[in-house]
Amino acid sequence: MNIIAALLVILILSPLAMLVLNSFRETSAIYENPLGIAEKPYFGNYARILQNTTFGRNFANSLLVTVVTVSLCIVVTTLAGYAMSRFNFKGKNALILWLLASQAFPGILMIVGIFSMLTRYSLQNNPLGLIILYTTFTIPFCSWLLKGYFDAIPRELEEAGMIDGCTRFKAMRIIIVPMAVPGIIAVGTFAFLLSWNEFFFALVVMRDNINYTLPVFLSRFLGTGGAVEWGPLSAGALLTALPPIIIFLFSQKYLIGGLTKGALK
Amino acid sequence: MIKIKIRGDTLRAIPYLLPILIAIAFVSVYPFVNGIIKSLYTDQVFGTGTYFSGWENFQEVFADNLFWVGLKNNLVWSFSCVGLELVIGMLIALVLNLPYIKFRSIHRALILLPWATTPVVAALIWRYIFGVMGPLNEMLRAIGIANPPGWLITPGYSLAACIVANIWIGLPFVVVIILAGLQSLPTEAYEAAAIDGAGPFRRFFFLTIPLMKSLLLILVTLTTIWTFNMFDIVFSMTNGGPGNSSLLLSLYAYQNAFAYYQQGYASAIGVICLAILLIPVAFYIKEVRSEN
Repeated sequence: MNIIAALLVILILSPLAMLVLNSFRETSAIYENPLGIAEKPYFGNYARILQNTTFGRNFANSLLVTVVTVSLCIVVTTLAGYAMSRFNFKGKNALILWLLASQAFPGILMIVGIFSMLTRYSLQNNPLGLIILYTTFTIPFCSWLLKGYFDAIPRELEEAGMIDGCTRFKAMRIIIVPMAVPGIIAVGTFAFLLSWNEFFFALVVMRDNINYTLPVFLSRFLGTGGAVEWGPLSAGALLTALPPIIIFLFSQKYLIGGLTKGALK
Repeated sequence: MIKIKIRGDTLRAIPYLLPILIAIAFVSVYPFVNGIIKSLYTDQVFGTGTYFSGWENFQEVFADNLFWVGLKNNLVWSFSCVGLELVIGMLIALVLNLPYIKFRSIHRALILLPWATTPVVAALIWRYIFGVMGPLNEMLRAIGIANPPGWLITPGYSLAACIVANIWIGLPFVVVIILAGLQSLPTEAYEAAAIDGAGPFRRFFFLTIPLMKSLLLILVTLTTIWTFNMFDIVFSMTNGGPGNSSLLLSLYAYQNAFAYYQQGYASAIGVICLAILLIPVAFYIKEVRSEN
């Protein structure tokens, strides 16, 4: 069974392995021999994608949108998760109900509903538009997850801090938040994956190729019919998929913990 | 004049809740309500404005052959993806949960990688795999199948190919969640069942499944919602083709809104999708809240 488990993992990862191998082969070689491996790695695909396309600019766009979204998400959902854990405010049930239900809202309904607002405030074709959308998309899952983390931290801890003269906000910041760091890492990773990988809204909002994020760039480079340049496309796809994979590998312990502890319970 | 008294916890909570409330009001509640309202308006040609048309969009959608094609595909797509992810995911999780499996946490992290992969990247990898001259057909020819089909350009296969790609993305999450569920099961119940002579199959169906019922229900409803609304895979692999054989409602609504400039019509399709999703989301909310 140990061998079966290892084979399963290899099978599941083989499409990614193929992407890596193809990114170092010429397009003609990829077409001639789909299962082949380059004898000598070919770097022309990377040169082509980095020098002759808007890839670098689009990478910067993705990075900007993602970094700002992750930061905003952490601030907003830490505060909200704390409030949902510690206070019995009016409308709490309605808020939680909305957060849970909004995970089912079809993207098309939301984009049609907000499109005129984005145009009116010049947020269309603007990274800020995507940042606002993505931050809101992370809220249901992330604030719910952090509420679960805060629930597990005894109230007595910040109450002790408040008796010692801290304000509640300060007690939260210096006592409770440090204890919820695993949850905050989980939330940050989730927000990173969501905003780096999101395609549908980026496709609609970003109109010019210099403003695209990476998934939209790849989709345009893939084209609509005709021969696909698999070599450069594989190089671009690998460079696109690498940042979320690296982030995920570093923080997977926290993300998996957050998924299983906070979000599904 | 009505005075609204805000006191106690509500007053204290406001500063913490202000950012989330602003975000939800403008980017969740407003577009949701506005999107539904738009479904009652019809767009005039060449973007010259809209006029109120009541239920007209819905009547047209229900008379639209392509809508029914999309709906049928959506149901096939959702049930196949979720069903297969659940069955295969359960089998893989059971294997990984065996007590003598080594490197379990490394396996688990590696298995999750497709879930972290950009869906558009996944779509183009699978578009390459399923290509007429791609690696899959190369392997089929090697084992003696002379004329393997062009998976993405043959009506009977295109949706199935997209389903395979989507399962590749969705399966890891299912495995990891089920594995976590399996690892939190009480061992005493299993020892007692083993003493009573219950075999592995009986233990699985009469112990494991009932004990994990709540987790599985949340997993199924959440996966169903995500799968039903999925857009990236089909857009990048087949764009609904050939001949709309892999058209999903998310894609059809997108085409209506942004290729034919019929946003009202598109949001009517969105409202119908939402109505369908009310069933899984109701179960999801009920289960999540009873867990708390």
